[in-house]
Amino acid sequence: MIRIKNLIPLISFFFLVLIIVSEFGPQRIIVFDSLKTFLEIFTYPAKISNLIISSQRISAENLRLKTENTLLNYEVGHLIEMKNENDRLTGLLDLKKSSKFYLVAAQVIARDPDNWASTVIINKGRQDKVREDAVVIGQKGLVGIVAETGLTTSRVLLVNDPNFNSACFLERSRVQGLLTGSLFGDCRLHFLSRKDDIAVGDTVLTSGLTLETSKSVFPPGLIVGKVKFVGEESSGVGKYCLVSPVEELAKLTEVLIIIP
Amino acid sequence: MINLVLSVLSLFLIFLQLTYPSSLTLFSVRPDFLLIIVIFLSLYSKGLRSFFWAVLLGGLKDLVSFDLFGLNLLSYSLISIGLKYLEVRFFLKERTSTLFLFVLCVCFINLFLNNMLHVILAGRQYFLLPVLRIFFLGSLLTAIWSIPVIYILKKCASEFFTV
Repeated sequence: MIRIKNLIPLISFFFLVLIIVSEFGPQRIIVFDSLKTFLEIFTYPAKISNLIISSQRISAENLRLKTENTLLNYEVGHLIEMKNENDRLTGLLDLKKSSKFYLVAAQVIARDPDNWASTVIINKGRQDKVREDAVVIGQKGLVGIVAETGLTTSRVLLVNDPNFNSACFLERSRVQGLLTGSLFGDCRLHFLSRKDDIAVGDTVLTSGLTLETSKSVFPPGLIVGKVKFVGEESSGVGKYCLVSPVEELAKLTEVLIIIP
Repeated sequence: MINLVLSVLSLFLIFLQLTYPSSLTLFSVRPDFLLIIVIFLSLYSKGLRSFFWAVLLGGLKDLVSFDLFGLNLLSYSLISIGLKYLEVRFFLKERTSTLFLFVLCVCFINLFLNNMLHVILAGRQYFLLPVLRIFFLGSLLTAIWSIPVIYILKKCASEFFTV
């Protein structure tokens, strides 16, 4: 039986822990630099089982992708022609060329052990020129931003994490709002007026505006998701909508990091 | 010897926690394997061993998670002290169903405690529905996993504990 007087040192211990280690956060990513190989080994059985389970789906997807590839090849040819024409005309107008991005591919090697945060660990870090606040995308659209970087690993804050913020707009009506995560599959688009034209199924894109709270610059036009539900804010002032991300965040295995 | 068994098992479970396959989640909610060890030790070990392990495991979980350092450490320690103080073991019968329900309740309390610490210390704001989903599904999944984990722990270390 623990006596009340024995609890005093324990309570003091709690406060000591709070005071000493609350500033420990930013350096924690280095733990994953040393665990990277083990984590990669640990994810192999899951990857193999997923491969076996989804082999039929993969063959159907392969066929679909081949067809899509043929169509895309045709479109690429067409776009190259357009680019050449654009380059010619831009040169004529002497316009400043916009800065180019390049992409770094990375694999997801771990997830946050807590249910209160939605983050993943990827196997690329500062060594691969990955920097904090870099934008992370998937095959279909926005995945999140780099929150912490180690030498060989980084932590990505997913779009459905409550700490995630991004300025977004609706493709159809050009209505702008602030996108935040809500822990689960869906995100919320806030600060919408009651008069705004919003419908279920509308595509949500990044607007390219920089928020005061974030150093990330999201390239404009990245697909975030589709509007799933439109509701009124509890304050009654405006509307909000639930956005279903285009990327399957729970099954994320590979991502691309945009390096400016 | 028992510390070695627990160390190996803890490391295995923290790796499992980090790489838990998405196909085994319940609406993206994952179980808390380390809490099962804390509950087991608080029920069956002598003295302050359970408190020591709760601090260690909570610290380990905090080390690999994104949130404010110390939240899991505090909630695990409080759970460990609470269970030790109440001496719940004497009210528990050696039945799987009782243990399942017990872990379910403790996990629910731990998640509630963890949520409160998130709100108070980290200043987080959550929407009610996702929080309730984490509370119920997280507790259920942890309680389901606690049956095989506690069985293995009992088999491995029965002679070292006062069962």
